Amino acid sequence: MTTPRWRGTLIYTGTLATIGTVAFTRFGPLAGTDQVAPVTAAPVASSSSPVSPSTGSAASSANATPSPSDTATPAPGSTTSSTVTVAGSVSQTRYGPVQVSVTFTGSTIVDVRTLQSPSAERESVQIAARSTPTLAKEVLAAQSATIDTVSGATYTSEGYRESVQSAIDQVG
Amino acid sequence: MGIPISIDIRDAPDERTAGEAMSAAFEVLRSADERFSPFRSNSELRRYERGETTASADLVEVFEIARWAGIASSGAFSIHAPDGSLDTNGVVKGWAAQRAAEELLARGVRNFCLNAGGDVVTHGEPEPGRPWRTGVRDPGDPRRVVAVVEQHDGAVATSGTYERGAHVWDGRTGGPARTLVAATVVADSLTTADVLATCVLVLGPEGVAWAIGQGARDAFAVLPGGGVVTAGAQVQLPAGVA
Repeated sequence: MTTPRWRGTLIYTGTLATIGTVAFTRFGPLAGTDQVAPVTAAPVASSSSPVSPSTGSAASSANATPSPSDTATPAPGSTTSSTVTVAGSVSQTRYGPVQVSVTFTGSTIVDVRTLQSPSAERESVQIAARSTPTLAKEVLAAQSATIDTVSGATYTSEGYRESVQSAIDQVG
Repeated sequence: MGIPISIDIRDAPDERTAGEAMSAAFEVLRSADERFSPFRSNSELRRYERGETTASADLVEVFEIARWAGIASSGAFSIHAPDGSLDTNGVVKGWAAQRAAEELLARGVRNFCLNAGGDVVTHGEPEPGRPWRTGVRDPGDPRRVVAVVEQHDGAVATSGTYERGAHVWDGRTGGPARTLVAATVVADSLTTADVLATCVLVLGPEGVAWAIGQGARDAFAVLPGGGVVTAGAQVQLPAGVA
């Protein structure tokens, strides 16, 4: 096959929050995931290829509000289509405050945005080079500061969930 | 699960396919989250538990992975939570993320990195001639990493007690796992890496070498005092890291 392939960077971030309603997604550069709002509302890509509208619409299909059958437990009798955005409480985590805002249409969460979050993420990761364990050399190294992603517990997720829950509680 | 997801695609047959693959991969994760959530009373898992439905093929697969891990770890790994309920999160996150990665591959995406709450699947390379570099977060300082895993195709999973406290329990005693702060496993598949990382966290320092015999390419763990246990030797982290 000599067909040219698309090359570029398409980054998609979202969160699965098991809070009894729906998952939500949002788009933005990976390094900005935990940064302070405003959250970029459209897909953002970097590197060699600009994002065309077709990418945006295709990726956005995952962002669509789920059909009623996807929603496990819609609140009984709550069929209003009014949209309201509520700021959740500030949850203190070990690494800093986490706060989100949640947008509801009726009883369905249609958007969650991060208002506050510890900003330490990919770009500010420092490598503790001296602490690199003596592991198999073919897969482990720490001589370069370039990291593509991070493995390890996502320390803000619990605070995130708490803040989302508080917003849900406010709406009742 | 309650976890952030990121999917980083670097190439695809065409741009439209890249977007479609992204959507399909996220849908795999979203669906698994919904179906197997222990937190949702109407999830398939909870309905199965109440005898309201038989186990689907996917649920059977999840149970089989859990059963394998339980046997391999002599009972340390268990999806039976101390309160008596079923909690398949120890299997589902890695399993679903691996499936999502396979969805990308099936659609012709060859160079990508998928991160589901700190568990990572990589394939190909981020740019020509360079492998993906996955930093393993230092449990004592989120701005630092204790190691970097360089690989093209593979998975890295880290299980820790430092974020939510001791939320991983020892299937043998029902008590919380406390002997390690974090355990990281590198494997071909994230299904394997995730389950083994949880096992190592429960088994303690001796679990690191054990994991190598269970399909891990590599494994290491961080002790409460900051020391690092590898499959070979124990390395002390510099002062102030832990």
